[in-house]
Amino acid sequence: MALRVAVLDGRLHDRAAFSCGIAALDDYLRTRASQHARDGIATTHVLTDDAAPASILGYCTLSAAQLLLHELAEADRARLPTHPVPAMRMGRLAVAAAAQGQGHGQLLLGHAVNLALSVRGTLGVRVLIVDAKDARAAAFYRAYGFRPTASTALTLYLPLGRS
Amino acid sequence: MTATTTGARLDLRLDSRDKARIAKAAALRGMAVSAFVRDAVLREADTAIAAEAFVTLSAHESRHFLAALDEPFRPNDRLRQAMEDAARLAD
Repeated sequence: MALRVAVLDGRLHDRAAFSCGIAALDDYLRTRASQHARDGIATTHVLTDDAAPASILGYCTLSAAQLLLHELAEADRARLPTHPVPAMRMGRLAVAAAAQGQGHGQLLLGHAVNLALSVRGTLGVRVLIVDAKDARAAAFYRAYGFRPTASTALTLYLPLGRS
Repeated sequence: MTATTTGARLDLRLDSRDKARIAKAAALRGMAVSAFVRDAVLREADTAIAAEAFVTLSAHESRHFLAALDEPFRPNDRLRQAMEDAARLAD
């Protein structure tokens, strides 16, 4: 079993067969993921096993975003020459129902963090933002050190530190 | 569409009452219906795009973020494990 993550390719990956149990996430992969990639809105990264390379075990979507700080003080403004702060956003993370409980979500999350760190030096990205669909998903991200953007928010963030 | 557009068209079906409402609103502004619709839809599109692209931190989290800014990146054990596992994925 050799797992790999690659950018979604409609010719290689079977989008129609993907089912994670959440209709909105299944529909996104089937109907919008490729269009969003073409339009430069978001890129979909899929996890596959070389033993069945067309079968999508899970996916995440990555896009550019910007982080605004609330009531930024003048002294702190100087520390943030680029405000809004350039960010990477993982807007969606889904694992196929048949492949859940095997750490695939964690793998895709690790992939996104590694990618964010690798572009940090060249693109000025300073934070990874994730969108959780519900409180349970938010708790998943919190376990990895993500913090809610506001006390009850389902959008969380992970500062990437200095380059 | 007016002469200012480059010729792309957007056709849509809508309820005749909705169309009448739009026409009335456009008349109130003294605008052509097409210009009124174009402006309103573009404004809504900008809002949707901004909502997707911008995230705001609360005041409390803004302070935390600034404190973390100059620190080296320190993943917790769980995240470190996730990053190591992901780094071992096939190329």
